[in-house]
Amino acid sequence: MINNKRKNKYISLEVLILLLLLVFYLTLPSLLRQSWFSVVVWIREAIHSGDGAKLFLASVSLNFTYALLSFTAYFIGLLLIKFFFSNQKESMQRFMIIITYLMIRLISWSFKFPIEPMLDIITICIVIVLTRYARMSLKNINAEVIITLQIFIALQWMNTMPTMTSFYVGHTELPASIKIAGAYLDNAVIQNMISLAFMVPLLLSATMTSMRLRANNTMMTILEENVQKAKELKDAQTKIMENRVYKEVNAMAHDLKTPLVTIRGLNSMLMLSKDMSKLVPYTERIENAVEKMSELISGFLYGTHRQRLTLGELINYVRAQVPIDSDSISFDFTTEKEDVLICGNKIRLSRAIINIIENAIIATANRESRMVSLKCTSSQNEVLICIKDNGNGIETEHISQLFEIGFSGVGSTGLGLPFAKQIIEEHQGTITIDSELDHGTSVIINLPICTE
Amino acid sequence: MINLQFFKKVLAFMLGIVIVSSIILILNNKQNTIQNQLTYLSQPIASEKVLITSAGQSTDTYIIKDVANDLLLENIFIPNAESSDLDGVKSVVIVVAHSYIGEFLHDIDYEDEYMRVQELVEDAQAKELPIIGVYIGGQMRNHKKTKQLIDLVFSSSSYNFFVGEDHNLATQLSLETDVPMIYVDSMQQIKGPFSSLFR
Repeated sequence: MINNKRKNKYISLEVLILLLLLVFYLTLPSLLRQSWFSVVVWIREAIHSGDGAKLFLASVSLNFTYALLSFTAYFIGLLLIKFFFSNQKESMQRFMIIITYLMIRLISWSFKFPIEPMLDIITICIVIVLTRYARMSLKNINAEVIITLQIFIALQWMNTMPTMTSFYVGHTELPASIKIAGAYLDNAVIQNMISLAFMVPLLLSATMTSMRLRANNTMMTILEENVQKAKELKDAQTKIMENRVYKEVNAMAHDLKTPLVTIRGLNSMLMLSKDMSKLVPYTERIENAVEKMSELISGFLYGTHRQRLTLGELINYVRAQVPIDSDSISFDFTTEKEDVLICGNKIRLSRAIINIIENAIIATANRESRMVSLKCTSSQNEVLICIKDNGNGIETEHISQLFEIGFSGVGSTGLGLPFAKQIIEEHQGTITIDSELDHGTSVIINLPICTE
Repeated sequence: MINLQFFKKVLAFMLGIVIVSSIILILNNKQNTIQNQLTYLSQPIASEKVLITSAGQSTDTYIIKDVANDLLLENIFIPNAESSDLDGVKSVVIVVAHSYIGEFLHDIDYEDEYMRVQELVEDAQAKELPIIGVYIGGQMRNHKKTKQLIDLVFSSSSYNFFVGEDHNLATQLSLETDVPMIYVDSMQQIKGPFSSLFR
């Protein structure tokens, strides 16, 4: 309802603007009459004194007033189509503008407006060529006005070119008077040259402006396409992220089921058992299972949650979730000391390592013999996890960009490595990449050993 | 690469303008080289003092006034002359071409102008004054109202004077009336034939 009211308000404003312009156009001959009287006086003075400069003054005044008249008619057509036919196709809009312009000129001819039909046709042809070349749309009406105004002013100079008389241009009263007076004063060549001197630079300027606008419009189109592509990419990445979260939820649900099965089994055994001595160990095991579930849920829900876990537990958890969908890949998981303790969020750390392994799997896609290995070593203070592949490798200049969001060397989303880096750094660890082109890539993760 | 294409287009555009302008100028020059056979009368048909007036109030009248002044013809110049202005004159020159602006300047409309010219012609004929009808507009002023005024003046005049490259109109006018007509191609050639009407 409110929108309709606003729309109606705009429509009435547009109608008002058009009506005002139309009234302005219809009163223009009366407003310009004084200027045309001056033209007549200058012509008389030129004949009397033999001064060709007076004819030049008359030409300038006349051509500008004629340009104002014809351009106002074009502008009315332009606004009419922009306001009320904006839903039409671009080519249809152009056609309608021309028809409206010619109709306004035809109607005003019956009101004794000075109309030059041949010049109008030439002007419209050049307007069509330049606006089409500039790929202009009615959205950018300022640019349209700049180009067409130059064309209209430029071509009106044909009116006072004696050469153009035989082409049926400049046959209305005042241009004819100027040309006849010019012929009497033997001024025809000068009139031709002066008209050309005004017309050619203005036409060139209009052409240059349209060239500039064309370049601008092309650039804008490319930018819009890029924005659209970026939006599509972002949507795709969001979908991938959602998919990943869904997978993780699935994996966690699966993990949660294991302690639940344990609890259920132990509970049924408790119900069946008549041996009260087993009550304590069974309830302890149930308690352990509940604790495990609680840690899993906390790890998933809270990024800052930390638990003590052995390296073996982490790697086994990772191994269980690595997406192995091809027999052609050779996986090698080696852990030197499985009982080394680290303090971290199992869910998040494993996700970080899985991301790196997934990248390694993709990187070996073009290899006949595909190999991905995970090797864990430990020193006194830290654990070193090295994930290595025999893929294509990465160019040296791209290595520094790998942790930037959206950058990918293997055609993935470009989110995996930045996420992994963030997780490792949250655990006070470091992550480095070492790669050799055509030989493969190694990702080395350092994590501190838990001493508490 | 883009700059090169841009300059190529600008160059092609300028070259196009030069070629078209050259063709037009060459054609124009050819027209100018046509030899004109100027008409000179063996004896004058009118004498001074000359009333120069307009039929249609165009600026062309001022050209004839200037020509008359250059030729030192004794003349009075009244663009909207009436019958009372015929007193003391021995011939009338009426320059025909309709002009809306001229009518506005003299605050008259076409009907008034037509009536004025008609009355003037009739009174001049009654006084047996030679009337010289002049049309120098060529094809540019060949409109309905101008044609009506031409018909009015040229059919009642003693001699007609046509300037311009509109051969068809000149032929048509000479066929429509029995009044002799001087035909001149170019504006620069007016003075000789015009002078021969009086001297």
